[in-house]
Amino acid sequence: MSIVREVIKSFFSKPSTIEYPRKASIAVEKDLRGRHYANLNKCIGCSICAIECPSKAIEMKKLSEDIKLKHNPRGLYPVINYMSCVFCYRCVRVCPVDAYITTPVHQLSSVKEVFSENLTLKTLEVK
Amino acid sequence: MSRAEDLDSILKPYTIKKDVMKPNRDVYTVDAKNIREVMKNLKNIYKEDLYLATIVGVDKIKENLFELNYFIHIVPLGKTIVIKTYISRNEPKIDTILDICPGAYGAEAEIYDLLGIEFIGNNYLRRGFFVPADVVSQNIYPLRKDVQV
Amino acid sequence: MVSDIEKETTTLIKIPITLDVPIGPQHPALHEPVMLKLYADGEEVVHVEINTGYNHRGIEKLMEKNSFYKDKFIASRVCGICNGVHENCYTRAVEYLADIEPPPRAKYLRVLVMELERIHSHMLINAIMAEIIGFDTLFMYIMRDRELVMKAKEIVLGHRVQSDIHMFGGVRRDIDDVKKDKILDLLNKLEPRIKYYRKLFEEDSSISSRLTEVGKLKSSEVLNNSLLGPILRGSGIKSDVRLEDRYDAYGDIPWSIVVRSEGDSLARMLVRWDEAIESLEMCRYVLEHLPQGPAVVDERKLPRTFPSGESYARVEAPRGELIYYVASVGGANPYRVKIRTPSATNIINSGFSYIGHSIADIPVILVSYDPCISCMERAIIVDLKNRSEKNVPLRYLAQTSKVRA
Repeated sequence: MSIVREVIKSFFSKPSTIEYPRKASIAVEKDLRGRHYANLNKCIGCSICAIECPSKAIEMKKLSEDIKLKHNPRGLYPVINYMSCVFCYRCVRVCPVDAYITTPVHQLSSVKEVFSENLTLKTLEVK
Repeated sequence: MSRAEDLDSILKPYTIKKDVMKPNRDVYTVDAKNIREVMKNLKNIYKEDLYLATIVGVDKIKENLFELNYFIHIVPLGKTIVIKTYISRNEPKIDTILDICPGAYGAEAEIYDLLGIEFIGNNYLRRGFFVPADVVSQNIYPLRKDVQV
Repeated sequence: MVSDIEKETTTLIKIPITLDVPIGPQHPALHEPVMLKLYADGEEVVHVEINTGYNHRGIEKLMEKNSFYKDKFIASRVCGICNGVHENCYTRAVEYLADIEPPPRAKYLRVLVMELERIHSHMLINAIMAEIIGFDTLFMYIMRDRELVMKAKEIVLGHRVQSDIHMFGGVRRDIDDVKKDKILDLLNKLEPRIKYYRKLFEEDSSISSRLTEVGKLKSSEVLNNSLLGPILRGSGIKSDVRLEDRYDAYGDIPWSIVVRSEGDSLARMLVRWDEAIESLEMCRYVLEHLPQGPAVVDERKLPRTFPSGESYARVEAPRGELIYYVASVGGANPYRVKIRTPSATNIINSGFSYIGHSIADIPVILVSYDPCISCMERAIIVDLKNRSEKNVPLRYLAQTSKVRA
């Protein structure tokens, strides 16, 4: 047998290459391990996620003086550096109050949106 | 005839202690001088149906010893046994088994390069086998416990 | 002694293999090439030297400084293609140490992940073998069909390549019925393609003329030099870690071991295709017979410190037998971790098998041993008579030498 029959069949069908990202977009699963950030309505500032991160990508920052949260006495919140993060989701699973929001956003190369600070602070405004 | 009992009786003259390593692998502690005879006897009885999986060196700095574990897999029995020896940390030398088991080439070279244990009779040992050149030039063995890399 | 050899031979071929170790979390590990130096007289190889220097050892020292949990993430980033088996071996070694037993559903899910990885790894190495001998069409077709396996992995794991799914005591994600149907659908599309490729490898004249009788290894040579995996099974020895240790759920799933007796390169590639077909059947069995019960482990309740002792775990990676040895003296960090990958032993100990073959056969033999070849560099040909050097890709060696007699 030879591969000629297969070649002729492929010749008459459309090419398998998907021209991503200029002409087409791909569909990913809804629970892909994509960009994640902390939800300040639930975070208690315990810093366990920062201690357990294998690549030391999380830094705890202090909230500004005018925001006082009852469930966050120390006033700390986590900020993720997406350039160091390996997306292992250890922080998501080890959080004692499940304070992380996960999304399937995976197109993350940018120089502007490197830290999760803006996304995290926005969760307070939705109230 | 069950060959598992053969194993106990072959190694009995050399065994100092018998243990079990998790998950149920037999460990035989032998003296470092007898390692070549032990390997030769095992090869004779099983007639080439075994292979040396690896050699692991552990630095036990508190007891001033190096521990060497030889893991040997015996194909007809389907099990792995461990032969454990101890050598002194001040004078780390032991006989090579390269002519009995050519498969020990990679393992012995790696242990020499990383821990500094010399295998007498092995001509292929050299520094720089795995360790990069700048660490070799500092003349240290990276995996020892008293070394900071 | 080297100059004697240099007098008789006409060319020296140096093949550096860079074994890249992408260790994302902490720092890129140092890496240096493994060099296969082959002295050739005209067309025939007469002497082999292996010059190593690849470093994978930054990891062993690094693992002594981090806790057991962080080490699990480091262990899964040792190799890109076989990260599922690295994780599985480390996780089981620590589970033996601490006497933790995972639930049955978690064991079945682990088997599913490892078998999917076996299929995609075997398809990759066969595609590379086709490319090396010049059969580019087949390379493209196999890679196109491999995308189905990558999509199946994305459904189970959440990521196409990196499987961070193992944890001490179970797994971290679960599958439901919708996902199960999607995966079964993909496997049904994949099965006729794999069977077609296997038939092609056996019957196509260009492949069989390049691969038969090349790199023949006898069973005593293989065992003496500790070569592993499909090399062992392609030379007639019946040895497979899944059969001997029966770890995870392999004791419950019906499967049969694949052994061929010829010992040449074609036998090794056919062993890999047959194993891929077996893995597909195993995946189907797992999906249809998943037991009910808990599978996901709650990571907040795991212990901080582990008891002292030592343990030794083996696993059947797509390339051979992978070993993890973990020793601990109590506490949160391990005392010693030793990793022995099958590719390291296969490449370093196999220098004897190139002697007597012609230059065009060398890439074929090297690829049939399955190094982690996605990081393979070019070969350097030194013409000893004129002392001139040139860099050529490995395909050049395999295709443009004189025809084999």
